[in-house]
Amino acid sequence: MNSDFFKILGRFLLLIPLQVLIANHLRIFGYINPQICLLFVMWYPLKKDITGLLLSTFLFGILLDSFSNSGGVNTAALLFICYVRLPIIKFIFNDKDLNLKLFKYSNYGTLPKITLILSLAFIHQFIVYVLEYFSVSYIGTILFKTFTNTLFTTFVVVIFLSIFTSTKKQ
Amino acid sequence: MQFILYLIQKNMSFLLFFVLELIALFLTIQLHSYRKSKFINSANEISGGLYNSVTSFRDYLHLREENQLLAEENTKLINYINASTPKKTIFLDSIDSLNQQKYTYTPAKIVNNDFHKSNNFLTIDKGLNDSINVDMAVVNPKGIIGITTNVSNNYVSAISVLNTNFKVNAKLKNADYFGTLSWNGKSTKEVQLKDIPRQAILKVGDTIVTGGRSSIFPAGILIGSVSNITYRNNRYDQINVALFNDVRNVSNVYIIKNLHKIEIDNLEKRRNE
Repeated sequence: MNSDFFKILGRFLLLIPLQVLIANHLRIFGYINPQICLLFVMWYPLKKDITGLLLSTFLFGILLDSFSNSGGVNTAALLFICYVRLPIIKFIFNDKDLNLKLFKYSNYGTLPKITLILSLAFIHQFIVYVLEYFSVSYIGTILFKTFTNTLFTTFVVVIFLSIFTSTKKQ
Repeated sequence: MQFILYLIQKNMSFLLFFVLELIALFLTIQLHSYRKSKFINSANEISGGLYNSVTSFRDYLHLREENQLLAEENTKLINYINASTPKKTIFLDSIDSLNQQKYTYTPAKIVNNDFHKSNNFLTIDKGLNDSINVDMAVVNPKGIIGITTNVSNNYVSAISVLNTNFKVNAKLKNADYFGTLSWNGKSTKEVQLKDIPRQAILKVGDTIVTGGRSSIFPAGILIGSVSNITYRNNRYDQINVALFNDVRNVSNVYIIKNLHKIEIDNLEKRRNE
């Protein structure tokens, strides 16, 4: 129980500077920033109560937003990801009696994993850009930025996931 | 009553999600409507301090450009001093209200600079302790950069010129025609000038400076040069202005404090009442 808490706290304290100081300054082609903050939600243990996930993600998002002066844009997107995470995982891994306690990303194939990250990243990016531009007239820009950012985010998150899950295998 | 309690208990997680999402949306809408985020902004000790320590490392990479900029500004100032004729010494028997200083400049450093979004902000390493407050101009020798919006004891966050909510009064350098300058969120090198009257003669390459019709920017601060003009019904439709500054790459700035601002604001408030 306690080790989980410290793991989550560690990710919280590591992912924020990583996102704010490195990922937000990459600006590939001028605007692409991989959103590795997604990993906070993805790595949160499925067996745990969603209340803890929602509250910690809220804090995480607010802190990210305060760094980038973006109101509540990241918070709203991350909270939504939290809420739809379990249904999407069940749908993509096609596992109706998913054992939440034994769930591990490394138990599943590469393709479903990439699909999962792609869909989560797309939802997250879409909400971020819709809230940021806040205007229908920018729909072209919103979609273009969402697509390019989703692809790049997926690429980076897959790398992170493969690096850190392989070491955890016992 | 029990049924309602049962419903709440059953949908506890959804309700929590809903409430938190509402708070996040409220913060977002508040950012869009007030052009600054009152509650969540980077002018606090945590984000300001973290950005500050990282910037102190990164600054070494840009020392050459900064020195160049300072040398150019020095040359300009020396030329200005030499060109202006020596003033006659006048003995004043009272305080001359005409020659009172109106603006003070505080040197500061940008510790974080966003430019990839549509609403970009800067974080600057001066705050209330250096008598910096909200609604002050942020400039460098090449031109305008932003306006301060939120302040803490040691840091201030400023709305960047590359923010779709940024608006400033601007004019042609060689004629007194005024317009409004804003950014359309596309290129980080160009801003848009609107509401220029049709009788104004405008050419590509004309210099645009601040108009001084606000208590924030002094008149005549450089902005950029006209790069592209489109017409509609014989009127100016959109005028693109290429910024003199590369806002993506600024580090040292001045914050301008208008010493008459409170007086002007009070007067305008009284007029509106």
